[in-house]
Formats: sequence, C-alpha cells, structure tokens
Amino acid sequence: MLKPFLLRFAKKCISPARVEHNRDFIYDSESDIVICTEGSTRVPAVQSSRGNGPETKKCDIEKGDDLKDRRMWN
Amino acid sequence: MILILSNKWDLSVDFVICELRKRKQPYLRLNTEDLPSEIASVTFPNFQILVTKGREKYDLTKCINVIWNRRPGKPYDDVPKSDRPSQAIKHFVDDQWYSWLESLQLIKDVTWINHPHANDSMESKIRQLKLATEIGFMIPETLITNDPNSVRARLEDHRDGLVVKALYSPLIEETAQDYFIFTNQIKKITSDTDKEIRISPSIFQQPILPKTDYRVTVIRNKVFSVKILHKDGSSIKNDWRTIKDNIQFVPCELPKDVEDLCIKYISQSKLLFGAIDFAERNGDFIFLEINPNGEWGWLQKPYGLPIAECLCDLMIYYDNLR
Repeated sequence: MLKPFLLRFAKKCISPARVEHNRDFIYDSESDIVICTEGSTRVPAVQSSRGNGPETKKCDIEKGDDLKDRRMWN
Repeated sequence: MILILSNKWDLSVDFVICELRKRKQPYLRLNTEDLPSEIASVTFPNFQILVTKGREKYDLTKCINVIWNRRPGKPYDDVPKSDRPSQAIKHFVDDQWYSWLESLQLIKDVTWINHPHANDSMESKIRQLKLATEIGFMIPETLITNDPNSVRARLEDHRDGLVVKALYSPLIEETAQDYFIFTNQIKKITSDTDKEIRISPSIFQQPILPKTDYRVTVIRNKVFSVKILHKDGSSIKNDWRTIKDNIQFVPCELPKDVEDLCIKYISQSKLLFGAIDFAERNGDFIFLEINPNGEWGWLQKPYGLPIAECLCDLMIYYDNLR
C-alpha cells in the first residue's frame, strides 16, 4: 500500500498511554504529585535523585513537544 | 482559584504544585483521565460546571480565575491495554469528555495558559512561519507542498539537500505501536517517491548549516533560553531530539532584539506560554517553530531554570486580578 513520503522516516516510539510506570513511583492524591520511596522516606519524584522513574518528557524516543497538544485531547 | 488540567504522570505539573503549596496558593489539579471516576455535570438554566474530586465538590463557574491548560489525560490512559474498548469506542468516550471540558471556555473572565483556541491556532506551522516573518524573524527558505517537481527544483538549488518535516503532528498512533517522524534531510527524490509525496503536503526547508540549536521558553514577558550542544560543547548537526545521550542544555542569554521579538511573537499569538526553537548561524537567529504547549520540565531540574516559579508568578498574578 502506498504510504505518505514522510513515513519513510518514521521511528518507533512509546507514547504516554502505552508506558508501563515504574511501580516505585506512585501518584499521591493527598499531595497531588507523584512520589517515590527513598529508603524509609517518601519524596516528590521531582525532588528525587533516583532515575528510572517517570520523566518530564512525555514519551520515550521523541522527547517531543509538538505532538498530542494540538487540541486538548486529540 | 487556579485550575490545572493535566494527567497524573505529568511531572512538570508537580514542579508547579510544589511551588504553589510552598506559597500556600489555592489550586485544583484535575487529572482528566480520572474524570470517569468523579462526577462531572453542567446544569441549566442556572449555568454551572460542577465537578467532584474525591470528597470535594467544585462549582468551576464560580471558583476558577485561571486555567492552566497543560496536558489533559484521556479516560483510558491508565487502563491496561487488555481492558480498553475498541478504538472507535475509545474515541467516542474521548469526544464526550472533550465536549464537557470545552464548556470551561464558557466561564467568564478566566485567564487561560494557554487558551485552547490559541494553542490550536499556533500549532499550524504555516501560521507560525507567516507570523515569524511578519514580526521580523528570519526563517529558512520554505516550501510546503505535495508537488514532487517543486521539491526536485528546490533540491537543484540546494547542494546540501533539504530538510523535510511534517506539516502537522508527526505522531502516528497505530493500535500496537506509535511512530514519530523527526526532522530529516534529503539529498534527492526518485520517481518512486513521487506518488508518496503527493499523498500529503510536507515541509521542505533550506538546511541551516552549521547551526547551533536554541530552545527559548517564553512566559508572557519572561524569556528562558538554552543552547543545545553535545556534551563536548560541539553543536548538533541533525534533529537534537533524536539524541538521547551526550547532550546538554546550556542556559544563556539571547541578544536583546531577539528576546524582544520572542515576547512580541508570544503576545501576537495570543499565548502566554510558548517554547520557540531557533537555529543560530553566524549570529543570526533563525526561527524554526513554536511549540505553544512545549515541554520544559527537563530544563527545570538539572539545569535550574525557574520556569515553574515563573509560571506560578503568572498564575497567581491573574488569580489575584479578580
């Protein structure tokens, strides 16, 4: 089947809805943020020094900005 | 109060929430993928937009002054793939919620960061480029077409080839796998590709080489700039987003005239927030594109740019105006 030219350059990526989250990171509805466990303490993920958690970039490979933002949902 | 529309896993929002809490500023974070487990209603004739969050109930028509339209989640985002309905049903449900959320635009005197119409409008790359030239930015020589012969003619003019990228969102969502189309460079096209080029228009641009990439985050009249380099300090030849490691973002200042144009651009776009990409060559800043709802969290933490703080300043300012 004929595909648009740009699809020649398409690369596989992982989008947010398809990401398996690291289970050490949980959303805490009390504080309204994602937290993680460091030893015996729970710290906001954004203040954690641990890697391998959720990242601020939306996706894996694309690190992009210009996708999924075109409307509130689509 | 400040209303934040996003999803649970949006860590950039967490930076802002931490700051709002530090400042004891009231806010409501709605992770919109969770709305099906809450109660959300719109009532007439007494127009009200009502939503619960846990045990709390909010009349958004009365309590909201600012809406940060960040990254609203979709209802099935957190549902395991095996439990999701068909794509058609998923779209149906998404659309119903989209319509409900759209009612927020009817609340009077709310400041949106950014208003969905402005975001939507400025996702148009053609509009972006046109505005850029109108206000005085340099842009790459650009052809947007589905005509292979025009592309061929341009290729003859440019020894280095042409940059090719998507005219609209470069994400392709298939059932099992998503794909992304980065910016690429082509040196020639063959007759085999003519039919493919005709299917949909693409952007073909003069490559800016050598160049240094800049990401400029603008929050109303505040500008945060970083230079994007390899870790050894050398500039990046291709699309920097394709490089996962060996990359650094170096905070820097823009020339005053470029900074002023960035602020003007955001203002004329009716945005309060935007992330602009430039390629710099020999001191010239060449506008590539703007991401009206661009990501910034990765600049906040390791590079210390106070973007969350600045966003809080802006939201609190507008919240206090009413």
